[in-house]
Amino acid sequence: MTSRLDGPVKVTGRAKYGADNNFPGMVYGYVVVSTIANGEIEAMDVTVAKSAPGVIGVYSPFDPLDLRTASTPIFGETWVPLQDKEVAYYGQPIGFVVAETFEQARDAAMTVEVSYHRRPARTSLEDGLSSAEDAPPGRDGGPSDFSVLASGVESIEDALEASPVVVEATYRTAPQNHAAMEPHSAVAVWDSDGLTMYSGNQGANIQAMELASALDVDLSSVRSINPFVGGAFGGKGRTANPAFLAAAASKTLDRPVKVVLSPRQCRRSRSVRMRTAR
Amino acid sequence: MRPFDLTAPSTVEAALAEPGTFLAGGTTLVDLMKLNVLTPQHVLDINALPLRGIDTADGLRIGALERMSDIARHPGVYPVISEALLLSASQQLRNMASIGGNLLQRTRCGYFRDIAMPCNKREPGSGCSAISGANRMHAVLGTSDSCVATHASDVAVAFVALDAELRLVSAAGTRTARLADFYRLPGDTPEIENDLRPGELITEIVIPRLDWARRSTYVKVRDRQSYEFALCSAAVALDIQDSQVVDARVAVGGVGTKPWRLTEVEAALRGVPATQASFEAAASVAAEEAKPLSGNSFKVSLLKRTVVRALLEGSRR
Repeated sequence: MTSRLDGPVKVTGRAKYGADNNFPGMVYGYVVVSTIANGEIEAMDVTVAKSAPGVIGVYSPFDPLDLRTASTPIFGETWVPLQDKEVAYYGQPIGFVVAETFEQARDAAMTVEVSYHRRPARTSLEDGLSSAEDAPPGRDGGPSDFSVLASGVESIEDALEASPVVVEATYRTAPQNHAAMEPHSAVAVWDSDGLTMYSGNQGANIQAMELASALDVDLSSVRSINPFVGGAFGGKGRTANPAFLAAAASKTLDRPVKVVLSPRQCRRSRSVRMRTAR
Repeated sequence: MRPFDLTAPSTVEAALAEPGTFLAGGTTLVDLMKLNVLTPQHVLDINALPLRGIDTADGLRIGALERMSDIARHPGVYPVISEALLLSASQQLRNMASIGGNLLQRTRCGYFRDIAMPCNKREPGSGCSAISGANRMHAVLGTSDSCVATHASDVAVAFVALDAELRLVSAAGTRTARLADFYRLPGDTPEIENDLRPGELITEIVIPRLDWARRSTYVKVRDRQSYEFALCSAAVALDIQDSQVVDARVAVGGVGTKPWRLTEVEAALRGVPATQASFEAAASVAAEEAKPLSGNSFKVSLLKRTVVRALLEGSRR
């Protein structure tokens, strides 16, 4: 039987994942996430968090990290956290607390008080279809709405009209969560050559491009180390929020920064495969 | 989790002398402290207290600090107790969780466990999110406009069926409480779940002798076959002589705001033949007071079917 090359080291615990990297002077970040699904952040009270034991940095849309919308030729623009007060989903990263230990960062993050201007949560695909918008045009200028017909078919309406049997049905798929064993995580280290990012993902080059763009640095100064991937299934295809936050905080604080999302945050803060109906 | 003080008294007297929150197995308290649902300033680790022992000489006496797994595998406990325990949680949790703590465990209502959401049980007066929210797992019996959360314990259902009593101790002295009466309905004060007084400690659970409870069982219906809470469960014990039901005990879980004894079903079972037809007739009165919510109307029929299945399985013992 063929053995996966990385199978033995993974099942014996010897595989060193991104979050297993530790560096002298390293500090820990904890992500504060939204508790509403739709709306705008009115205010965030971080007074208690800022004076909590071990805390060295508290960031929010009111006191953001230095990041800009990432843009790459392949994927276009990528949202980066803390740059605006809009909340588009439950579990969206809206704050970031950095402290000397993980527990200090987590405990301080839980003291952050957020007030929102709430808008109704839109949780039903069917209810939202009537107000759905077309996708924006392609980056090549191509239309977002186009038909593909088999050769010889001039019009889908005419073809249906002429069919002896017509089957009408709606096909649905449930939303899916990737639920990888390895949580989304990042360890960021800056030195005179630039940024080194340790983070399990599905494309180190994509992560390097998106980080260079978000941090406004040259691509040659970003090293993206992708040691092992503990499950991804498409959920680690793009740069995770922990990587953006760790990279920017590490640069500001001049300390290596580690961020590991909790299992709960992984389920809520990362991309999922959306529900579909056709 | 917020910082807290931890002390470990070694006698009951010392534990009662200090104000604080008791910690036994920690499977509820530590869980809820991590979520900031509970934020005690002072935690008293009571694991060193001499509240152990399982005595089957006359009925059953169980020390409050006995672990779920040890009780489940004790040969002298009634089958319904052992089965309810073995269908609870996971082996790791059963190895840690104390029986006293099990009876005081908090609801698994997702809104109670999420401090960002209104919950009358966690924050009185803030409102109930479940009544208009995700309530598939919630109760249909004993609910109020303030709270529809279920009581999560399996073994408490078996204990209520067997008329269990609690021995309690506080600085004011000792007392005994019938478990079925100890639990409160939510009413307007869902934050008060039972009659435990401030600083009071459960020392022992006492099950009166009931020889025919050797014929007993616990059926648990849930979304997956292990490590999941009940959609509906039923604890039954049957006294069957010459194919006739002489007496019966029936209680259900997963459907009530507290473990729910079905005395009307018990009455309907007395004197009838031990057949599926008479079990179905008796179970038909099980859900008369049920008030289904938007997401759990299936529990009304599931409740009756679960009782019938438990009676059938129990009768074959």
